[in-house]
Amino acid sequence: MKEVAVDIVNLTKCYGDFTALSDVSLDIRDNEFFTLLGPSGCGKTTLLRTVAGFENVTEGAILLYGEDIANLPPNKRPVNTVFQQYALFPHMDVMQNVLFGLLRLGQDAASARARVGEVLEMVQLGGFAHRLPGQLSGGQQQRVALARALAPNPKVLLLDEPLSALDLKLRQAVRLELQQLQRDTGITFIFVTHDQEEALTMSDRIAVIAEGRVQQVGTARDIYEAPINKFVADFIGETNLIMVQVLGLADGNATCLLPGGGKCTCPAAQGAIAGEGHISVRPERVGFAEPDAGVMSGQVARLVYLGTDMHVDVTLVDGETITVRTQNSTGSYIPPVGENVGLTFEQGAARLLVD
Amino acid sequence: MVAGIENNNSSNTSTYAGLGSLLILPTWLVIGFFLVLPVLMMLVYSFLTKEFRGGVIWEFSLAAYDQFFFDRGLFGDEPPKIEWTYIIIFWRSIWLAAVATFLCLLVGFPTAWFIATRSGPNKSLWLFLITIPYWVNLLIRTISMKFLIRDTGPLNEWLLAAGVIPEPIHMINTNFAVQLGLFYSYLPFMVLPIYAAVERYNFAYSEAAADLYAGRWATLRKIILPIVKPGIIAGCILVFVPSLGAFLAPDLLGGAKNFMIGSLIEEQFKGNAGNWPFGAAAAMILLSMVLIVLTFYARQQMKQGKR
Repeated sequence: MKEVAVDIVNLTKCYGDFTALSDVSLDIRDNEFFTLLGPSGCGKTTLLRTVAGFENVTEGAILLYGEDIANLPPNKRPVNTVFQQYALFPHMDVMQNVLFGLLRLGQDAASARARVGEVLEMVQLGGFAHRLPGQLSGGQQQRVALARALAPNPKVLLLDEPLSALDLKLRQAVRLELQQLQRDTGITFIFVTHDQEEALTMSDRIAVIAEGRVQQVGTARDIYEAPINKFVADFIGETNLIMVQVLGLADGNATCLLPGGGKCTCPAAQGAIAGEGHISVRPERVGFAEPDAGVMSGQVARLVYLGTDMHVDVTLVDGETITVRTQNSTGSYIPPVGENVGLTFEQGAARLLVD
Repeated sequence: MVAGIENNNSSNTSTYAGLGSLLILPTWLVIGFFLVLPVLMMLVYSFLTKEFRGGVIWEFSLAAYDQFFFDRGLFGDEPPKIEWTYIIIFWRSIWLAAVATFLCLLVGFPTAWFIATRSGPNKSLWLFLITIPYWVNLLIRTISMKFLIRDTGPLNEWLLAAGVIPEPIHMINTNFAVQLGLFYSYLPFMVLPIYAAVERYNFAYSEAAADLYAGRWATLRKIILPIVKPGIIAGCILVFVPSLGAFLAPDLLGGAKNFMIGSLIEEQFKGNAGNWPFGAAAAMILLSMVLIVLTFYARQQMKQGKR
């Protein structure tokens, strides 16, 4: 396993009575593209800011390659930040902006200028050295911010929702570039976003954060296919959360009583307990059957056309709604509204969650 | 599509701003009647011949300017020497105004920074407090200051009683007193424009500077000061220019020895002893000096705007 770049140990951050981060522990590995993903206000930006040094920690430690940096001011930490609104110095041109960090570190002017040329090429802004930030488009400003943060060759690069101010097309292009840049430079990236698609496509690993706590850490596939709890299952992608009675747990599998009396056996997330619980089934994993032939049954309430796919909302006997996602292709069966249908899913498609 | 949106915006703007150019008309009238016209009158008067009981004789003369710069002896028949009296008064005025401006900046910047970084309602309260002195007339305030700092005034009495000083500090009728008066009169003019600039300052710039290895001092020097500079310059102009022409503070606190331009000009128009053309000439010289400073500043601003 690779060396740990940033080790966050039992970190707690309080503002008065409000606990923004509660006992957060993470180890971010060297040369990793690590994403902090969560809804707004979940504490992900606060976490990033404690690593940068803009927020002091209430309790806990932050180790950067083994050295505790939790009490160092930001200008003493060998990490750089790409800010959400870029925070480019408005009175300095692109060259001066990117030079700033290098000169503060005491580099001599000639080698610093050479380095600036290098990073500006890297972000494809070679010809823009003497423009002021106000004369650049949003995408160009974002690149300058990136170049400015990369120029001092930080041990870790922190990115605070750097793509949120760009429009959709540009955002998609920049995603790939960022990922490539991370591979090329070998710098550890910690990337904050609320956009799950961004997180899933770019990251080596993702930490899902909610209410100041780390919910789950894993690869995109881990998090999508094996969510640990209701929050993660619901936040990443779309899912059906079905209330069940857990009859028994054995060898990581759970036997559950479904609404309407059907039974199913499915993998259980670590920490799931017997009694009342929820299982998650992705809409694309649910299929139709003859009425009363599936594990559940209900009536089609609504059809939502999505282009390639169709969402079919089925109301179960107990009033819960299950969404089924089917392809809009010839030969796929799409029941009309009002039809009574049975629903099935494979044993492995469902997953018992920690509530 | 983007161009379409922009067109929409500009047409909206012109719809709602239709009367724009007429709105400035009253101001133009006021400025024309009460500023441009009097200044032109001054300009004309400065080139006229003085009448001994105050007033002018309508006869062209350079005597006023000559009197300002040259000494031709008591009867005006000696070869001209440079007259230092008025130049020294001007020089002292510039020096006093500059020091007052510097003191205002020294105290005003931290004050403005403090106010701008308070939370919403506190901010309004502090700004309100800053304007309170203006509810009392400047003359009254200056006279009360005179009473406060005189040899037997409360300040000296307290210091004596507290045993801080063995004998009263003589402050009244000194340059120090004049500077104190100027500083006190114009401090809010420094605080308010700097406050406005700091208010707009985005603290993410300070974070970015710290992130890029700048300490507090470097951040202040390289990032904060350049960004809020327009506010600082505006504050300096608003303090320096009126300080230069002030006459209340030097008259009341400075006594006869600490004359400033303002008092010199005031004297020329008071009572029967005055010399109107000379007062007008002194005022024109003061005005041209101020204009030179302002032109220089405006050119700087335009240069920056162009970049």
